[in-house]
Amino acid sequence: MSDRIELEGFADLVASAQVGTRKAVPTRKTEFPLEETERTVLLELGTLALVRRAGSTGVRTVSLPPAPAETLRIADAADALEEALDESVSAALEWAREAADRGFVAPTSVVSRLVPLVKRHPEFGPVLGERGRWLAGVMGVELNEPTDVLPDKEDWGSLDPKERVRLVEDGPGDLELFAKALGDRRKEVRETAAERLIRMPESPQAQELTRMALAAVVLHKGLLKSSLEVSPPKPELLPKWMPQDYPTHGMGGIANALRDLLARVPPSLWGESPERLLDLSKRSEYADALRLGWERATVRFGDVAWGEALFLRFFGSLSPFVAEPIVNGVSEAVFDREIVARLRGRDKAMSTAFDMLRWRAAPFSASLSREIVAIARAIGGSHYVLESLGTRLDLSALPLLNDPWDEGLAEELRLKWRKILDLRRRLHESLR
Amino acid sequence: MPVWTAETVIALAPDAASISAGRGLADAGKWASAGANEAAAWGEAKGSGSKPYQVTVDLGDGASKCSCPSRKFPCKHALGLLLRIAKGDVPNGEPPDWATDWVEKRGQKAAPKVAPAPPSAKTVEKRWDTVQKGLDECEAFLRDAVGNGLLALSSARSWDEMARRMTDAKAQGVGRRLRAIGSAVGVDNARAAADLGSLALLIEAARRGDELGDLAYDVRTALGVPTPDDSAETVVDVWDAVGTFGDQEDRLWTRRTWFLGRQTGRWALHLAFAAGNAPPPPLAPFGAALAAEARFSPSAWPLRATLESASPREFEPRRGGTWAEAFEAQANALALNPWIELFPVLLRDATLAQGEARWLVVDAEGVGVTLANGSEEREWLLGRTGNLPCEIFGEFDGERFTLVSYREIES
Repeated sequence: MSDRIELEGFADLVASAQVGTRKAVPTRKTEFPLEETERTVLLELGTLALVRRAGSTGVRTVSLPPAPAETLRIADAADALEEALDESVSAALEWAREAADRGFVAPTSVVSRLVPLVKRHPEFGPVLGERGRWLAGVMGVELNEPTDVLPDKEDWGSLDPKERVRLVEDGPGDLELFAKALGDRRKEVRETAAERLIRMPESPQAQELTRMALAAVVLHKGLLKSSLEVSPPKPELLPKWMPQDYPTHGMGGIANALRDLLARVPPSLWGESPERLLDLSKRSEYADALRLGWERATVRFGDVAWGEALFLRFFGSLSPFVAEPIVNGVSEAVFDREIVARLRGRDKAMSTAFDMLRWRAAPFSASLSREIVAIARAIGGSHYVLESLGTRLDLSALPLLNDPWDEGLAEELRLKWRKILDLRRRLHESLR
Repeated sequence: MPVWTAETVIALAPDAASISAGRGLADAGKWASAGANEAAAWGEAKGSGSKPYQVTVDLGDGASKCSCPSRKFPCKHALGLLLRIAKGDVPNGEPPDWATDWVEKRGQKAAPKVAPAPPSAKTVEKRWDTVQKGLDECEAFLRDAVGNGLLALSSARSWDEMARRMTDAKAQGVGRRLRAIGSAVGVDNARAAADLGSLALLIEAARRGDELGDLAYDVRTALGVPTPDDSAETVVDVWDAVGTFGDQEDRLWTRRTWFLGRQTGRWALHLAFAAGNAPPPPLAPFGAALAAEARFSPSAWPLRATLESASPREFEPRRGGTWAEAFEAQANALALNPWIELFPVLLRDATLAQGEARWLVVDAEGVGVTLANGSEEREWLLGRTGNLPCEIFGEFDGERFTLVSYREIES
């Protein structure tokens, strides 16, 4: 016990207790009584701790600047939104889209829950209001709000790749700039520029692809019989600037080149109905490449006529790459007619119809919603997709869910649907 | 009738699922009937069964009775009915027989539960002997801890083991303090040493019970030993429930409900205990007020109380003060009872400030104290107030402030 520790204040007492009085003997001007050393240290610790607490003081500081005042109307949806965030984010997202359209923002009581969700669900961004944007700043959450000001193309050389992509993607049609961007050192900038140029019929690049596509697939129209003459381009002859998709399994390089070329020209190029072209293509040895290319072009150029033709022709067998966007591009009338027919058929196609319903993002029409409810009741609510449809059923279906159904899955489904539809109704009414 | 708001109702909920389910029932369409008078609300909630569930809620303290099979308390039907009350969409009316029966069975309307009978003097003294033996053992442990050095005893297991022995010795309060010290060693050594000293003082005081006067009650309370039900001070006032907080330790839930006397400015702390999955409901939810006789437990600085002959009033609490006033009040209280662990603080015009590695609760004079709450509660508060000055209530442990409730004040 050679070490000694001289006590002057609370910190020394703490140090003494930490090290141990038997290892470093505490001393003051007067020696601690040996037999009472530990007791003395303990009681002095207690006394000083009490004195310190009784003398509590705060620190001088400056408060965080307050949030700016709200400029938009605040929706009276606090309870319903809390419930939606607990149980059905899709209902909250539906509300957020409608609220943004109508110029409402979320009540302040839920903004602390919405801010962390914005990254995953950007729909919440516009309804955060001033309070939410302020809180996001406090929380260090980047909102990635779209800014009106695009980078200046004069600064192209000094822009970072993200800014170059944004300028090409969101800027006005500028053939010169896009052509320059095709030679950019970053792949994402080159590909963005190529996509813009493909969609501009006046661009040399679009015209080049059009020439190649019309040469590769020639439609011979006859009085009695038409035909397609398919002469795919050699892969090495495709323009170097044209991005290529991942090769389709089971197709060779030439077929993939044909697919990629057709995917980048409007499918209406041949001036023939999609149904007729699809029929003719079945006889070609490149039938798969033709179909895949046209499917992708349909999605790329948002061609409604082709979308509906593909939906009707290949219902249930669209390639996974395009099925969802095509289902979402079909008009409500066509979608409803086809789905209802298959639901009523209650055969294998019913299951495919359920998948289509699952993919369809838009809310269902009132008549389709009634049909879905009737089918669910009839089949006993036994299909796994059914529960998820509650977030898109039309609110007019709510009265159909008031009376009990049969016991079991059907009744369980009815209660779940009723709950979610009722929640959506309350959210909707908060924006009146 | 107390002011029932969505927040005060939610404070009663046993879990998040109940809140959500309760909100789903806060719609007139879910009810076959509903009504309310000054004392109670009742209703028949449509369920999946053939008969609706009958629920009655005491609007004085939020206690409820429901015919549903839920084991949660309060159930979603009671929460749904209270949320409807908060929205003001329950019509006034005459209660049906089943609601009247329950209200009458509870005795006087809105009357708080009578505290259980205290243990007899003989039982108390017998227990006191056991405690004294335990304290001898604990003191030897503390001396060893200081003698060998806290760093040599940094394993929380040693502290937990000694804490268990104190629980066996009927000194749960000592056990709780030992566990707290054990978890602070190596993390916040100054805090651990201070708490160690405080505990040593407590043990020293326990040996001098005869010399301490009213402080002897506080020593027993701090040790976790029941005190005899001696004559207690009674204060008549309107008591505003400024905050309620549920806390769990060793599978035991404690519900602290803080009341502030409107005329006297006195603090009263109501404690309720429960085992299980949720804290017991508060005597009154935040935002309620009771005109009552507060019967304080004996103490050098009386704080713990039961409220008797209570009747509901509008919530109109006194305004809060500054940190300087709170520090002074705390010092005065500590001078009377050095073992006060949590001191109630009501601040007016409070805001938050961001320090280097901490957040602070700042009063109107620009004085700040470390906020103990985590980011979720902090952001919850900021989202609601936008950091505009508001009335904040919380518990202060001498270093850190734990937010319990807030209230926006219209200027």
